[in-house]
Amino acid sequence: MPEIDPNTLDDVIHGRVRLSVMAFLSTAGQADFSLLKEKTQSTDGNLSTHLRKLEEAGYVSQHKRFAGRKPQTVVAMTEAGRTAFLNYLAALQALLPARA
Amino acid sequence: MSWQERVQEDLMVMRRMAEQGGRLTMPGGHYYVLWGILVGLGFAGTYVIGAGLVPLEPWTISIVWVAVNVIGGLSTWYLSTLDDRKPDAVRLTNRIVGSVWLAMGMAMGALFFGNLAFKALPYAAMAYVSPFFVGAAFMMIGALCALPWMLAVAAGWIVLGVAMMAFGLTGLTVPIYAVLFSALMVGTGLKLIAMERRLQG
Repeated sequence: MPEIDPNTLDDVIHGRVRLSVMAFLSTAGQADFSLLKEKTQSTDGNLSTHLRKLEEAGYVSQHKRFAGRKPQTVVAMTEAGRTAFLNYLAALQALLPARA
Repeated sequence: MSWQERVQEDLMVMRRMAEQGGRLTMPGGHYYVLWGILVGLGFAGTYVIGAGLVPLEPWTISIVWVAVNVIGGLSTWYLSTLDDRKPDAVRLTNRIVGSVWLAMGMAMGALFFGNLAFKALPYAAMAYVSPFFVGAAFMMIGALCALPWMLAVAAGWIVLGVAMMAFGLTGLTVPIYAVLFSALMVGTGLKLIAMERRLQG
């Protein structure tokens, strides 16, 4: 049975919360912080930490807007993030046994 | 947990999240219902005045349509301020759908008010072109949101536009257009509202 090679997977993405965020943004394009918190079932602090890591890697961008009088943080996937996510999927696929 | 199980689980998580991210959860069915009712009333007003059923001059039909546009525009603006507070408002699909209708509204508004000012086209021209504008918007939204049934409704708008040009805006054709226009718009709106409830449910 082949051993998993940790070097083939992107460390920034490979974490359940960050993976969930990237997968969600891959189809939504951008999302409000509170929606991401709900979808990933995270706390404010936990999600903020993960988003900071993704932002530092250039995979997502964050900006503030006002929805009515309420401030809102919008998280968007960047082109680099989309490329990294697709590469991550390819790496994951390469790890799985090929189907006949 | 073996690495294969871990990978399978990761793939399941990604699939679930990607599906949720791609859902159109704010299709804005209420806007279609609003405009369907307003435009239906506009056509009804046109018929009632045009047929002489009320003691009003034919030029007052323009007032009816100005009222339809102003009430519709203000109501749309108010509803959009409420929708803008929802977390889904920032979703790209929703912003694109909003932009399609804004662009369509601006083009039709420019045509309507421009024609009102310069009287370059016959009054009825607006009624003839509007189904084509709406049909084009439906076509774009259907393609962008992967809603094939909306493409069929877009075809319905085009057929309505052609029928209006072929049979003109006279007599009983006006209330028939009112019913068809409202049915296409309100029907779409109700279907989108049902879809939204199902997705959120």
